[in-house]
Amino acid sequence: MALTDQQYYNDSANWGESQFVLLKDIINNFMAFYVGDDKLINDVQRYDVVFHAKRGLQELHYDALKDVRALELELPDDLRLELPKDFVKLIRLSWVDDLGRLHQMMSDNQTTIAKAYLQDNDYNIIFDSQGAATEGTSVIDTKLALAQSVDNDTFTNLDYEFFGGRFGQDTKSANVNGKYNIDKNLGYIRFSSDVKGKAVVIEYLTDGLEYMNEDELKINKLAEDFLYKYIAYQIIQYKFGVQEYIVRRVKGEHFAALKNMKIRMMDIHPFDLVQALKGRNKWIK
Amino acid sequence: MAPLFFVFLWKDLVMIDNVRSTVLSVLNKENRGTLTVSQFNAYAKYAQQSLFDQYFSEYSRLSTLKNARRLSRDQGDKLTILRSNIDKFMKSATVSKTSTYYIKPSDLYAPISLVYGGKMVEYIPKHKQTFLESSNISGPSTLYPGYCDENDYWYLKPASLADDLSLSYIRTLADPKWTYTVVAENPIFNPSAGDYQDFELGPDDETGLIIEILKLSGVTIREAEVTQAAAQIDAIDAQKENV
Repeated sequence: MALTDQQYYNDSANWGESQFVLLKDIINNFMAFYVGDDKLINDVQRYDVVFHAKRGLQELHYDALKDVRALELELPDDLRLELPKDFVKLIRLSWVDDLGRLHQMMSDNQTTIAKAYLQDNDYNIIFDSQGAATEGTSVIDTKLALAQSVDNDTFTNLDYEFFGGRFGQDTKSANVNGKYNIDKNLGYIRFSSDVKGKAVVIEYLTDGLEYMNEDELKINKLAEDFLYKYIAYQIIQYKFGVQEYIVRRVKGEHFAALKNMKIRMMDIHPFDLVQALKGRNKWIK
Repeated sequence: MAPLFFVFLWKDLVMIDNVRSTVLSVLNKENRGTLTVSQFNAYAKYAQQSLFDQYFSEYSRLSTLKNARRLSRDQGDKLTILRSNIDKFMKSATVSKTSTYYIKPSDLYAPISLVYGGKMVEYIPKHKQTFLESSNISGPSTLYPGYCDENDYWYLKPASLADDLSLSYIRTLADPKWTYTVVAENPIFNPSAGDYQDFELGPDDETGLIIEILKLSGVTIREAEVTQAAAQIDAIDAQKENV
């Protein structure tokens, strides 16, 4: 039943909900309207549909939806932060200045995150009773933690970037906002000491599955039709005995729906173009 | 209006008597022999079950014909009629959990839907159970529950589900029984007997029941001609259906 205006505005959980359709509704609709004796898909298990629906949702998040999430955290003294729970791919890492603006950091190619095995005086690796090499803190981590914090709001370390001699700036590493390394396997980010004690913002892509309960999974309505076509195509292409012309037809429908959905989801407005073109007569000095 | 209603009611009530009379009349035409009441009841049960089982294969066949545009929808949609015949045996029940499982109803022929808390419960084949339960995105859950059929019990997945199941199913048919009283050493039909049971199939199946019973009766009285004739009628009917 539709909500009244009062019900909608009084409960923040309802805000913006009309953009979305729940994944469980898509699965239910698919079983009701795409599966049957007189349909292309006459027999399929719901768990197959659930699988393809969730895979489709993941693909959409990687590819088209660009549902970028942001997480702000205070950086601890060891300069390490865990990756967010629903992290799939990093978009941008920034630190926050006193005005709340973001300063984009860059990946540090001049260092890495390394394991450090403990060694005896003869440089032999020390093993525990189970035969596993014992690990200690790496020299890299120790040195980084010892580095003093700097105030990026008033001080730039551009001078450091100018190291490289008479040929000028090393542009590939020219950044005053600090650097980071990600260890994807261990699941954490290590920051340079430039941002010691600051708040950092991690902007990342998610697959759309992890941050919600199963019955809360949802997708933008502009992508709903694509998801039906995606599920149908995935089922039909792996179903035994389906004529190849039907597979090709469904593939074409799926591809067309993908393009339509991408066009719909592109956030391009005439106002933005006008705004960008306002500088067309500006002289380039 | 009332007398007409009575006639139809009586006709339905005596279907088993009509079938028996016709069968006996065919068998006795040339003094071939006769059937005892217990033999007739046994054959009637077999015939009814046999025709009922055929409903489902027939449903598949008609669905295929309909998808191939070889079945009319406007006049006499056979698929809809057959579905309606099957739906007559549809039943609903609530099943509670006993220990770790749910006990099937004793009159279950085939389950149509199991619903748990408003959510459809899906059958999980045993050979898929382990794969599905360890699936990271498509395993059985409270939102998409499943069930395994084991040792004639249903086990809900995930196993933590413990509330009642709402079940829709096709029930088994009651065994037909022609009951009688003996008058002057002759059995006279008595539909008032406590264990009387008419055929549950509709009047459309009366001919089919007669033919099925005749096939068996021909074997009993050692008259191959009766069986052959019945089988021949059956074959001709099937041929007409397939044209």
